[in-house]
Amino acid sequence: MRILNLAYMFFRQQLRHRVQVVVVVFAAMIILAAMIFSSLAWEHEGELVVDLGLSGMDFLAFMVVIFSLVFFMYEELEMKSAVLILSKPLRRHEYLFGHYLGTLMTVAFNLVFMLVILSVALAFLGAYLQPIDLFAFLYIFYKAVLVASLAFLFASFSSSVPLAVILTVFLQLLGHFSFHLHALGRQITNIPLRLFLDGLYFVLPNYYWLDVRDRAGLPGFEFSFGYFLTSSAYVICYAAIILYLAIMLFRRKEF
Amino acid sequence: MIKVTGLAKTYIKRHLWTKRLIPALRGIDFQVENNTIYGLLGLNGQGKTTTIKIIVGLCRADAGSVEIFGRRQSFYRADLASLRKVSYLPELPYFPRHLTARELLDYYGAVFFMSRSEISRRRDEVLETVEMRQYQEMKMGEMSKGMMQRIGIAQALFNQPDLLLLDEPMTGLDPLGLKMVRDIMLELRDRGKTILFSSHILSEAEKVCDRVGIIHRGALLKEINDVKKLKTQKLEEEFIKAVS
Repeated sequence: MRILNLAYMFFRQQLRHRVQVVVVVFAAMIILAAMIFSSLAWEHEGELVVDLGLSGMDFLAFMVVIFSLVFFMYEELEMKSAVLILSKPLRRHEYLFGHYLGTLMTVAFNLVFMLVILSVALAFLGAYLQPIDLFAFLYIFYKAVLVASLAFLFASFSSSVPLAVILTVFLQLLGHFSFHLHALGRQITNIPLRLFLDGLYFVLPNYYWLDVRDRAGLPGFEFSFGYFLTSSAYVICYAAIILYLAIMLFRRKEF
Repeated sequence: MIKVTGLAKTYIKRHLWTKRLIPALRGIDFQVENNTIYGLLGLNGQGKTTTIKIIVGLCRADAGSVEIFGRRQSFYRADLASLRKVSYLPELPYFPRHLTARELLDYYGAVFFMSRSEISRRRDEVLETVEMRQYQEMKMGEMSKGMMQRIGIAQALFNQPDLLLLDEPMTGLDPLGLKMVRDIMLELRDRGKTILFSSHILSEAEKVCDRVGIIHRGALLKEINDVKKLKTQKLEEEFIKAVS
């Protein structure tokens, strides 16, 4: 209950910081795209808007996580507003997990608004979202779950906001290539290098697995209920492990 | 109430491959009895804040121990039962800028598992005590230093603590604010509460403290057990004699 209270308070503070400006950016982007595509009278204009919309959501959800990281580190850790709450009868894992949940609430809030805007824009074009698009939307949230856990890991040991942001962005980029690095490792005969790439594959978040819409058209890929369950379990386990590490580090932090 | 034994702490400042050791506490011992106001006096940077932070669990001691209400405190596993009866006011408290005073106190109240009605009642009481009730809808980011300090005191009183740890509570207050804090401290002591506070304002310490400890370069140089019996200005003389 206290964790939910912390999460709600963090969510509320972020809304007051006008983080939902990303929704306005998204709306402007989608309306502009819909106008351009409809004026060009292309055959697959709806599909193009969906592609653009989901890519925009993916990027903006990541930006919301980065914003939360900066906000958390600056206001709570650097300005030390955390000392008041941490001196109360509250465990550090409750504090960190509450803020993590608050970040996810902010991401979810913004994503839902973006989805509504996208649906309305599509309705004007006479198109609608397919089931795979809705799963792609859910997987965008999954990516935010992963990147937010990494962001809180870096926040728990780094005392520098820029360093934590750089590390999060770096891992976010690498996460998109982790599968390719693994595939590359299989071609390499140098054993240490191969082991290193295999290690990276298991340590980095695997975003390739979560790009269901892009992979839907590829041969050999079928999005099934089993795939959904496995990938959901992967996201939960990965985020849980990273958060556990973050909590272990945060417990050692002195103020 | 508080028993501090052999408390030592050295800060390590790292810069690339170099590290600098900054001793903050060199094994200090003191006790604060029930129903007293104990002043930890010292110049800036002598270890007062570090001592209070270790007691409240925000800093880890390299050596020594802290007992509150007879229970030994641990940095890695905070004793929540003790902390429920403790409150802490940091020096120059910083609050989330976008929350109003009301929201902030509600937020802290929820941490203590208080019911909504209890939170509402306590909020009104503490805001009344620090004369800030009319500003409860003001955002923390819009408040002056003195107003923030008053809200800091309000949050410290919120859980009706038995022990208050106040780090430089007089900082940033105007003369009326100073008198208000002094009156609150004396009233709390009269109601059976215990207060440990740090300060370098000797005249204020002289007015409220039952006992004082003079801390200098991380060591407790002297304790004065009955401040009330000292003549006016005597505390300043004792302090200067101890630190020079």
